[in-house]
Amino acid sequence: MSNTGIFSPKDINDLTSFGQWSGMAGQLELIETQSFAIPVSVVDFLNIKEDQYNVHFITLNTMKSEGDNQEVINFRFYENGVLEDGSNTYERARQTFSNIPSQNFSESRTTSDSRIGTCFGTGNATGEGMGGYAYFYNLGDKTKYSFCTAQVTGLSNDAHYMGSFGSYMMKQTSVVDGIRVYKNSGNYSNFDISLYGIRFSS
Amino acid sequence: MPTSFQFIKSVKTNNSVTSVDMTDVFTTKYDMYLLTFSELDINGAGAENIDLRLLDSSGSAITASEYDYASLQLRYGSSFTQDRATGQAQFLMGAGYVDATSVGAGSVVAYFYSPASASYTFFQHQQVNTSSHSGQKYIGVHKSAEVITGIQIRVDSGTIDRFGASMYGVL
Repeated sequence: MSNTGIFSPKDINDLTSFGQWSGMAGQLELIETQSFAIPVSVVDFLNIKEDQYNVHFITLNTMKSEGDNQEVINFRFYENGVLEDGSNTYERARQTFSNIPSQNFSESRTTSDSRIGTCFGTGNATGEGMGGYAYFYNLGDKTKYSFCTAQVTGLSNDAHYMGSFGSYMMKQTSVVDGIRVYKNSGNYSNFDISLYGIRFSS
Repeated sequence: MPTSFQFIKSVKTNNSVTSVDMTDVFTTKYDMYLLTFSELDINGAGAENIDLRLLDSSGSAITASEYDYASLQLRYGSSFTQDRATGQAQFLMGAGYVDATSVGAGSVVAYFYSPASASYTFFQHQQVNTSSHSGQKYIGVHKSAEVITGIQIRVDSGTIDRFGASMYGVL
């Protein structure tokens, strides 16, 4: 049911009966946060509550690499606990922008990829690294493709500013029950990643 | 910085319709609003337009030539293009490239800024679609100083066979 943001006791009762009352906590609900503890190359979210949320939101902070010039924000999905990493699984349409002399503003697109890749490699010097966010759509709907929109920013391996926004798709009608965040090579030296569900999202 | 999304309303339809209204969602309670829609099935010839219009204080769709927008259209399989226009009768969200499909034609997260104040309403979104024309980054403005109370999603041809959207106030 709708409301104007001001709740009477009757509103609260009605919202509760509709399963829509959450007090003042809001509807951006934290599912899980994972932070760096030891060097790893992948971070898996395997309890994403895909049956509860049509739209997921993920934040990625202090994404840093042990090795130089390595990508730190890539995604893959799990279906029934199996990692989807086939070469023709994902499609990508990404606008990248940077002050890297050879890159500047560039389009990155493909109709067959093994991953959702969001940007170039970052460096491991002080201040280098990346951050960003993404939305995921329809992960729990077996009749729908799984979508992603993402925006990231950071410093390249030679400390040039860079970022991207993009649209991504896994062109399979399936239930996605996990999300992997991973590096294309080597280990993380830091990360702080939080996955949220947007309650009542359609 | 936003700290919370406050759910306001969801709309859903499984009927074949040409438009869906989301009424009475904008008030002065919030300055900023978040719209999600992930459930969208289109039945038509393909390459459909998806339009968004704003609802005025009486709940009627605004059809005057008051919408300006600019977007970058992202494509999986071909070069990206720019699309921009002024004085339009709607925000053209899917500029002739939304697939007729039942597997999810597209998904959107959008933000609206100060729609319920008697001023211009600003809008931005990022979209992803199934077709080879795969999404867009978009900004728009409704250039009329008036109170906006809701939105309308519509197609120019074909029908919307399934649609779901949710609106949140951002605190």
